[in-house]
Amino acid sequence: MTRRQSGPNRTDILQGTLDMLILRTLLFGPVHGHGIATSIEKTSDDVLQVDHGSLYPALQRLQAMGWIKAKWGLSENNRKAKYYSLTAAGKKQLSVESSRWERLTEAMARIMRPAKDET
Amino acid sequence: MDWFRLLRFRLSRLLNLRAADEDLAEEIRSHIEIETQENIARGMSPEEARRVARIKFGSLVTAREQSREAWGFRWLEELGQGLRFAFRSFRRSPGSTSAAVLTLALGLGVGTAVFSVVNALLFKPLQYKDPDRLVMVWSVNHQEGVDVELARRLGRSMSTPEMEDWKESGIFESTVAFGAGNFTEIHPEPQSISGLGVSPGFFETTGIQPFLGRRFLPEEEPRRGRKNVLVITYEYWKRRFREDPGVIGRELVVQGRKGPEPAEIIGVLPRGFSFYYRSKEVITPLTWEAPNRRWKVAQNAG
Repeated sequence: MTRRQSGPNRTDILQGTLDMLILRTLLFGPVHGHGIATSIEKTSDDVLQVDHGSLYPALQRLQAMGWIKAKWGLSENNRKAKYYSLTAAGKKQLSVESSRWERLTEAMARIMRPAKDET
Repeated sequence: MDWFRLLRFRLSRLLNLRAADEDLAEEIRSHIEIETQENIARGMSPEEARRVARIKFGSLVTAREQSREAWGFRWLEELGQGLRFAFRSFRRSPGSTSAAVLTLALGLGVGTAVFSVVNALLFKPLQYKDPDRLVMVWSVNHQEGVDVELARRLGRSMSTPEMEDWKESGIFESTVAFGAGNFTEIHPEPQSISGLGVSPGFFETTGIQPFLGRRFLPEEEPRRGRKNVLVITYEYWKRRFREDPGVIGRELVVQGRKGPEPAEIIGVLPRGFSFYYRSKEVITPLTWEAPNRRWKVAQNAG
């Protein structure tokens, strides 16, 4: 895969978290694929790098699970684009995943903090 | 996880594989288009903008392949590969392949054959009225060394007087006799017809009912000089008369004792009729002159 313009502060998305980030992005309404990618990048202040190519398998997977649904529409600059939106099951899944994520980061933080203090 | 929804999603993609593929390609094109426009807005030349957008997207092939995986067709493709591989290995070793195929074929064939016999004999009830009250009686002659087994094998049973005795004994509700009654049809061309000769009351006792026409009447108990009547089986009706419903009342010309005689068809039996002897074509009243020589001999001996 390509490693594009990856500065020291840029990082690839953690494996397994892309689904959660997509669901989170869709929480405020329908967004198309490109919009999801740029939204994740912008919201993370360009720290997170979305591999645009890997976005589409993830979107198909989420559709298969019934968490999101898709509909063709027109983009801001009048271009045909496919818009994704959360389903009820998707909203439930998002809350499951974000609470799991919180538990995970807290646990990670508890482990990493002492080490930081000692240096 | 809702497996039903997953199945439905995959099925809809599978049924519209082409459309789903095209849809995805269209979506990716639109993605790159939007990225290109944004790059132009950032001040790139159109060519540069498109190139950068393509690079940023990464491999189109990978994106599409991995998306297809989400549709769950991997197993189908792998099944195809597996079959092709199996076929190639079979071709490479025809000896062991044919041994395996033969083993399977024989095993399946024997299994099926045994089952159909067991099914007919043990599981399916006889297709007669009150099958549990239907018995078959042989007479034996121990002086001559004729036991039931031999009597069965010879197809020999009893004489008319003997049968009359059974009838009058009151042991059985009704008593009927039957025997093989093959005869020859003369017209339009000579052919042998395998017949089952039955004594009066046969249809009433067994509950077998012609589906066309009627069964023998009591007064059709054959006597010399009376008109011959026949009930034919479904299979014979199909083969000889091409299922013509107007067959009732037609006459066959058969070889009688003194030459050709007419025999009128009065009924057609339902499909799959079978009684003791397999594949009989025609039912005749017993004590017909020509067909029932054995019966006659028995009668004379009695």
